[in-house]
Amino acid sequence: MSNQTYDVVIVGGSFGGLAAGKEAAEKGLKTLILERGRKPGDKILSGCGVPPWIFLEMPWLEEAPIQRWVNQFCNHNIENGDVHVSVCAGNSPGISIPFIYCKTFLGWLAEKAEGAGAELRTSTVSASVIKEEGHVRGVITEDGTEIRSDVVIAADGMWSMTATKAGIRRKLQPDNILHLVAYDMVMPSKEALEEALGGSAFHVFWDPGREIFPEHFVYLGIFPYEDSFHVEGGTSLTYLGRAGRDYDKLYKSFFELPWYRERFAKAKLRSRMWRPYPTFEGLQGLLRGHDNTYGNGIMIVGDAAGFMATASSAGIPQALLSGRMAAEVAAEAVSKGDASKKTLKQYEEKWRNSIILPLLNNYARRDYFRSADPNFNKRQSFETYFWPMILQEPV
Amino acid sequence: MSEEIYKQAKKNLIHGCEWVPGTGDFIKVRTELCTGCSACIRACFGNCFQLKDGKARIKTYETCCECGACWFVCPENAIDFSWPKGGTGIVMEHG
Repeated sequence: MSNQTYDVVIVGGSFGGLAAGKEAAEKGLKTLILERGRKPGDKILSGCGVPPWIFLEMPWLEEAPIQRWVNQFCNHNIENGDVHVSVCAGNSPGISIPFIYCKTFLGWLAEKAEGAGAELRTSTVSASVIKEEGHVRGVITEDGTEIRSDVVIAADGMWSMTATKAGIRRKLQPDNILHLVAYDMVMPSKEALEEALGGSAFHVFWDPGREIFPEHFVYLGIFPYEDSFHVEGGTSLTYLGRAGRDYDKLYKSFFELPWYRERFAKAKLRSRMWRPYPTFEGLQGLLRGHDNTYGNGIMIVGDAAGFMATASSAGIPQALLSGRMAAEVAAEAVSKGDASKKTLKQYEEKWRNSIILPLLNNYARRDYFRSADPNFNKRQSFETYFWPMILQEPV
Repeated sequence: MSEEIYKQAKKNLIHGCEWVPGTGDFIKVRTELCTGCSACIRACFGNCFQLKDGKARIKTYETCCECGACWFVCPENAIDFSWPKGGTGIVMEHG
């Protein structure tokens, strides 16, 4: 086996981990990224519009493979067995949102990280951390191999296994989690999809009267890619554990709406996947200081840190940005020869002084996810939920 | 159309996703802690659990999406959740 000592070991080869790896390698750190899948993206699901502010922060992202630039945003209310109220806005190139397939994007991002000099080791599970006198000194892979490093960056998603094993995080509660099922659907062609969508449009459906959506089911989205799309929606995990729900029956009812049938009769099911996402309450511990984003020898980035902005259901830009920040602080720690909390607290200062904090603080729309109150939904969901989300404005 | 899609979804619960064998038993129920409340059974979209003799048990890993819903939702913390062996388990091409 090659030398198992690095400046920084990153657990997780997804958005946060690969961005951290690229930055760390560019700064001259000996960098290892551990990914449990065969390839980056194997284990990743997202309904994947990426808030474009990250392209201003990281201009090199413009070369990334984008499936579709969406410039129309439509909200629909389901009433009396069909879509009856629709509000569409946009058609302005100034506020286009890129939609990506995670696998394709992450493959490109991995090439960037490796091109910068990071080592990417796939099909490798980091099973636990090396901890000596309260200081993280590396990780241990599932076959017992010890990998030592000055810094560990935990970029392993909302389960935050690495940080939990390091003792600086607890498991999220099901009240704090939205569980989504995604159907990946394919149309015969890009043109057929655009005709069905009515342009390059993102469609969201609400059901204030609960005609087809069960209790606690908030909204359904059609997330468009080049010639395909995701149908995605979710419910609180607490509710699912208590009552269960047949999402397939729900999606069947949605497909039977005349609005959908008229447009998407030719769509075929390609994949059926599911994933949980943290919601507002999961962030309160973080904001009140109960949960940490760093410890001696360790920093947590992205979903693992809880940086989901549930107001926009977006986490990718925060993962990319916090990954870069953690790598910057890691470089500082390595050059000083001090990766204790004293140095690494700069990471917390960085993210708290960035757009990440106002995104976490944006509680205005948390009631959508907490109560799924049909009266609340009847209010102008477009103005209070959707438009500010696109413009990233606090409400 | 909708009926056909519904049947596909029900027939193969991780329709369209490759599953690489050799995962090992990466999710385990601690029967001494399990009360048979069935929250894990209700939360699992892969239909991976069943109730047997009043306790939950894994019946298959082959439709597991590694989402951790079972781990999160168990009120008794009776589920030991870890990752499948590196390179195995679900592969999402269109996630």
